[in-house]
Amino acid sequence: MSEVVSITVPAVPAWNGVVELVLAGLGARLDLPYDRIDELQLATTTVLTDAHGPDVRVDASAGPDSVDIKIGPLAPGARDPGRRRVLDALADGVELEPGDDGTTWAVLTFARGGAR
Amino acid sequence: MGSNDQRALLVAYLNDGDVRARDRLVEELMPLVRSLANRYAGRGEPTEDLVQVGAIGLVKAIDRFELEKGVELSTYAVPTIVGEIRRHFRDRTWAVHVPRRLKELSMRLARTRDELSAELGRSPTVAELAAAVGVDEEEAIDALEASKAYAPRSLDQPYDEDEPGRVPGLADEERGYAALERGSVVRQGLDALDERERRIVVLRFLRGMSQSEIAEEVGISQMHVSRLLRKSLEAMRGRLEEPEVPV
Amino acid sequence: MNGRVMLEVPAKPEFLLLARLAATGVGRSAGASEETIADLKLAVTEAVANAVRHAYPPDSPGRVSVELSADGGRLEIAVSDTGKGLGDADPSAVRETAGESGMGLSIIRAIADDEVDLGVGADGRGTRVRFACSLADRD
Repeated sequence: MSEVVSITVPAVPAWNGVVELVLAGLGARLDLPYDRIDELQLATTTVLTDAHGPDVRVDASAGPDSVDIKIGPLAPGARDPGRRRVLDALADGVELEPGDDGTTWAVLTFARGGAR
Repeated sequence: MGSNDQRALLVAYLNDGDVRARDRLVEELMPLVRSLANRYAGRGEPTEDLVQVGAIGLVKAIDRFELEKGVELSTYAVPTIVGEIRRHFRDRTWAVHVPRRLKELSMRLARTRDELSAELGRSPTVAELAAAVGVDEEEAIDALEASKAYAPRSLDQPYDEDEPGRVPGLADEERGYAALERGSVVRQGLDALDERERRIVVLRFLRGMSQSEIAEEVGISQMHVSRLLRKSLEAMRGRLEEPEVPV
Repeated sequence: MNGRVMLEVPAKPEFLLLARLAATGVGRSAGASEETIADLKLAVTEAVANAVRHAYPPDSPGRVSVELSADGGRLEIAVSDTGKGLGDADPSAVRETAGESGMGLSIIRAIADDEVDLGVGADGRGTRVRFACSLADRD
């Protein structure tokens, strides 16, 4: 079972920095190139703007080939295509999953091994 | 208070030195100061501090007001009030929340990052950056992250030591930008940016250039590219959250 | 800025960095001074290191959670695991221990403002250590 790092913060932009610091720490442990870490942070904070509810959780796990970041709960409903375009440029995979109670979770996948 | 009364108070203060008239004017316009301060709320500075700073801007505007010019004081005061709030962020965001040690370290890291990228042919890892600069990983991460704290949206110039960037040729970027539907959310967001920010966003997200490629092409550091992208995305999001205003 | 942050990581040494970074982030968001942030990181390190060392058998590592709440001029911290807990050991006896746990706890006590609460975790399992730091200028 791959190990998960989980961080829950208030769904307010002022707390994004805490999420970014923890992701940077994870990226450092995984020896990711820094620009990859930067874009992983950018993609995550972009998704965080869709958080639904007082808190939002970010679950990060790493396999041999990729880092997966799961973020939620997010507001249900269709995603904004423009923002999706930004995410598609930053992450290798963007999926939406249903959560409990009709919420949505995003799963971002970042391939490991080299800068894009 | 009608505009004639305001005028009378301005005359009393500016011509006759009646300080109570000035105080009355400040009181009258505090709601304007508050509403401007609220626009900058939630960015790590207490709103009350912003209100105080904005009030200083208001007083400055009153002092500088020219009676002959025939503008409303409220209109005239807005840029000065906003200017004081923005300057407060510039002075405090680094000085208080990001100590000088971190600021210097982040500058060294930015230079080292570009040097190592050139040497390695890829972006360095945190371990490589930390070793090159002679700090531990945690400190490096702290400094790298701190350099991402930026001033309120769109108007401020980012702090940096780079020369103003050369911008690449217009044609491709303009085509990419123009290709976005006018009503699209990203296009609306891009409209909120200045020219250089917009080009960098277009290069990154529409042409798919990497940050280091953009840095090389535009002639600025990677850290600067990263900061501009972040600021731009933030401005875009801010813009996207603003209510529709009838033109 | 008031708010609550919860970090949950495997109870392994390499994740200590993340707990320290979370503490740094919360400290900065709360406007704490650098000295307070340094204290906070130290206390969190001791509490998490304790869980890493003692909570779980070496062959089946578990998880440790770090909860950081900024509330007015105070930061409240709770570090919990769902491991073997203190057993029958009296929390006050742990205080006297000369070993790493005891020392770690003394460090937390030196940093914390009030009593350090050491007890059983939520659901009656494992261990939880709770303490608070004020954000004002500290001695």
